[in-house]
Amino acid sequence: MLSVTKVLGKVLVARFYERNAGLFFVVFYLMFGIVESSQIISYHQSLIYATLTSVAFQLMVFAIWLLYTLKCVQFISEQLRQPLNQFVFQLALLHPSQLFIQSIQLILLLHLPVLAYTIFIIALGINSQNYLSVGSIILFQTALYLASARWLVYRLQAQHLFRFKLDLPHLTWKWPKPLPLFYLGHLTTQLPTVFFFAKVASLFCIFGFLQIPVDHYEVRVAILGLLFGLASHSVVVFELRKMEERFLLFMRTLPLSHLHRFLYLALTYGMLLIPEIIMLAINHVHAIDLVGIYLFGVGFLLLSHTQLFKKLDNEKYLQWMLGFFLISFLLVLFKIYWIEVLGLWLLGYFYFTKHYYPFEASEEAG
Amino acid sequence: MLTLHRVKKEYNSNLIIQVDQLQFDTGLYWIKGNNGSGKSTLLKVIAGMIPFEGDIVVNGIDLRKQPVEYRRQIHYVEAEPLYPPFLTGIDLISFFTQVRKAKKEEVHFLVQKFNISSFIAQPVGTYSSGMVKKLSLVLAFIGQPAYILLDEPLVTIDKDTVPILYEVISLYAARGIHFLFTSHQAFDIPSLTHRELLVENHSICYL
Repeated sequence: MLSVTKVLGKVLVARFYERNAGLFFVVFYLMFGIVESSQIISYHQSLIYATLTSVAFQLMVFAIWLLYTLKCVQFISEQLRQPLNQFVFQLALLHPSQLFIQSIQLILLLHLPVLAYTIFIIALGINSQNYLSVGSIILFQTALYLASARWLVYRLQAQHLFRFKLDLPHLTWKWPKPLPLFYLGHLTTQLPTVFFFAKVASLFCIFGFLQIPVDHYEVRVAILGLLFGLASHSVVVFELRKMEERFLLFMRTLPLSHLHRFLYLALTYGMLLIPEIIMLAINHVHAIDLVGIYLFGVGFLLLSHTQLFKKLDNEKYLQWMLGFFLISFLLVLFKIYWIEVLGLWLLGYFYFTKHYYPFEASEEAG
Repeated sequence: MLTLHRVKKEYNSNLIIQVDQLQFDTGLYWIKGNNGSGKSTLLKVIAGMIPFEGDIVVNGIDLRKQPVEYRRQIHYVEAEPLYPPFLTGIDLISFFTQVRKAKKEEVHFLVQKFNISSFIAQPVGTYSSGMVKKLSLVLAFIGQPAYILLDEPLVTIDKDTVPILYEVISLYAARGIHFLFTSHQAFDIPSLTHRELLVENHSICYL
């Protein structure tokens, strides 16, 4: 049984954390990075007590946990559809009770960050004698884990019958699609939950930052909010690059210049960031700043995308992303973001022209 | 005329194919060779799809110096093409027509000829491999290239489509378009003669 756990760990658990590293980074920063180190304990105590004492706040926390569980379930479902992972269905040959144990183990491993924080909530809840809240939290989480594990058992046993698909609403486009919609269509039809969660996290970051009280109009708050939103798009960018190598190889044979291709890509990311720009606009960010922020956002995603032409490797990409994020963060703090905008576009174009044709996915695999 | 000069392709330092000098003039060329001999890699190199060492020139247009114009001259279709599953055949045909500045009548003719009009409004993800192949063949013929490269064009298409493909190749050959193709199956167009080449031991020679 240990070997089964090990294989599932490699195929599903490690890949889950790898793919969502950007999201975890944002959440980690929001939980531990935005308050001074001396206030971290009291900050978390306040959050936990709010969870324990306010019904509305507790319901909000439950909603977040539910979304996280749905994300886990969607991820497993997507992975089980991959031809490479079809061998996982051999687990259905296990005794039902063993299969259930394996499933619950897997679900718990995917929920480790939630579980770790829940332990603190329960400990404080018992300490402060909020037994009813503690009970409801334990009950809710147990129900989530049992339901997810039961679903997984059913999914593995009924391979031929079942196909889970979270159908989020997406636009239907009657006319022939222009190239940017080749990319965006991949997100809305093939990876709707990845897209949905990236957008929710991104808009949440922007909204959160715009709530920070400032004495006067400060554009950096908006840019920092967007920067965190962009970090949550890291998985989206990686998936789009992967899609290019799998389904858009024919593009390489078409008579299009590098500039033409690069502008198509810019248009794609420009369309992707429209919700963020709308959110900034309705929160009274000045029009001239909006233009700059838009160029900053598109440039950031373009550079993230084009540097993946050097190597399409998730681990290296995330390391690069972390460094890139920190540099951008500092440049924004030091008010040199407008220079960065120019740098992002120029460097993005440079990487693109230098690596677009020399890149070979088959070499990456070899 | 298509010329390869000192072309060399390696994957992870393993030599796949090396061509000192090779010339294709007019007509049809059947490139033969065992599995893994490097036929598909050679076609991808000529299509400008993958990096390589050396020079390739078509009608005086150098791939390295005029990449866009070169790609207008060379069309290529893979043995097992893949397209985004949510796109429809119409999406892809429209896109290729626009990028290659093709005439709509020509596209309409190809769609009718290959008999794909009944399914091209559906997403590619719903197609069988034979339907995808037919779509890819239509895409290969859209435009005004000098050469069309077909990697295993007979694989997965039904027997009714084979004479249609032969007919379209004959028609386009009469317009002055030349063909390089690989095939493990007999490829015999009665109205046209072809020359044969063999890829073996990392090199290629005329038979």
